Amino acid sequence: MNYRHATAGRLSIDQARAAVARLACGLPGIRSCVFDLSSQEIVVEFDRPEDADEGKAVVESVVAAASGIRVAGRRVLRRAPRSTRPGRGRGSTTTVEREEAVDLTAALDHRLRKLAHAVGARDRAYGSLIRLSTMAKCDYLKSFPQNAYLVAEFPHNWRILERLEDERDATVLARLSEYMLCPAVCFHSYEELSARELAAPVVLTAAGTCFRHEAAWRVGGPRLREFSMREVVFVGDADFVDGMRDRLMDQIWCLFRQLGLFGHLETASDPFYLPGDSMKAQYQLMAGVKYELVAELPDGEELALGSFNNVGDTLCTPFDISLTSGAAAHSGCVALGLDRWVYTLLREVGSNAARRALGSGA
Amino acid sequence: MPATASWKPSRPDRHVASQPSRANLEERIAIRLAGQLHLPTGTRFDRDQDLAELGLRSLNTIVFVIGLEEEFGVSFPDESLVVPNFRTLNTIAALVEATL
Repeated sequence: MNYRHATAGRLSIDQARAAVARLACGLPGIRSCVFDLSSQEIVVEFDRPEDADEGKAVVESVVAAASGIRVAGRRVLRRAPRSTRPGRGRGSTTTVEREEAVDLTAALDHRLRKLAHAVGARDRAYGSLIRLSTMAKCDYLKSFPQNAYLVAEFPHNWRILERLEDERDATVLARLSEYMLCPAVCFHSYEELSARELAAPVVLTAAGTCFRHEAAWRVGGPRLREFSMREVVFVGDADFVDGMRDRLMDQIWCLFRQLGLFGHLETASDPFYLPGDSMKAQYQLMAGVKYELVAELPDGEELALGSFNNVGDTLCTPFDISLTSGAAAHSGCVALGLDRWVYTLLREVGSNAARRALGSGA
Repeated sequence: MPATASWKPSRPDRHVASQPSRANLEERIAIRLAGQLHLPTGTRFDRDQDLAELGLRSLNTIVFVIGLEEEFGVSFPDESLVVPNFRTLNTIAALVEATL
């Protein structure tokens, strides 16, 4: 069943969109939750009618919370719009699981890694698990609970393990481990640099598999629970970090255009989930903490391909990273979703043209 | 412009009143700033002093912006909501003046 919640006169467009972002991960048993711009209604499709009453109450709570939040709109920094009207596109519209996507992912990552090396980055390889204690340093679980995948394990305890022979549901014997699945590669870099005093700026790059708990109804196409990211992490004084972010943003924007993609760069914020953190998101927008590269797909849909972050001292401080110069240690990172780039390339230009374009700059 | 203890900010009616003078704007902003930064009422601000050095940064900037919007009955355009516009008393007054 569909439930439509009117927001006109109560929420601005940006407030309504912020509410929908929260509801997307806040309503169990739904098929979709979208904002209908034309009617200014939040539209929720419930899987089971019996969930609707509780769901409506949740919508009301989230809308009430959103109405008290000052939401600034995003600002576009650069734009490369398509000159033709949206259509089907020239390339494939299938998911990224196809063989050609594997080749393209490797070619794209090779190109991005070279780009990172050109700005002085050193290679790193990290695992998929990361300690909860590391993530606690930056309050990840409290800031982004909707994204977290915690890891369970069976205790190394004979009395418990022997019960597995007879237990019908083995999961009742599991417990939370000290790890979670890593939601972004850069946290490993911060942990590596933790408690270090740096004599010179550091630039690291790594590709890795990242995990985020997406609502079941949203998973598909370019939205995955498990995806590949190439990141570049940089630490130094404020000027170094500011300059490095701009430099990488320029180069990746050039690559984006060279590959025949359309879209824009805009200010963005991290998806802080709880309303109490909404001011953090607003400050990120005001301070230009995060810029996002958004592709405009052939059918008119938009897809975020990566972000360019300058987080000032907000991560160096909790990770106890300092500079021998005595200046405050700042940091930033560029994070690029390889699967989404490939998805966009396949839809926009097709695999052959994409491979040629990537190869030409190798 | 010093703030006085007896001065009370009033909420202007945007449809009626003529534009306040720059001095009046700065005085009202200064009172807001002092409150936001937990400084004594009547604190004098150098018009070009970096307010981040006085503690106007991160989340309290947002609280201050919301307070300013209430004070002057305006909603700052998205493109003006950037940190440099809230760096000094001078830049804030210029923004308010341009938005009224």
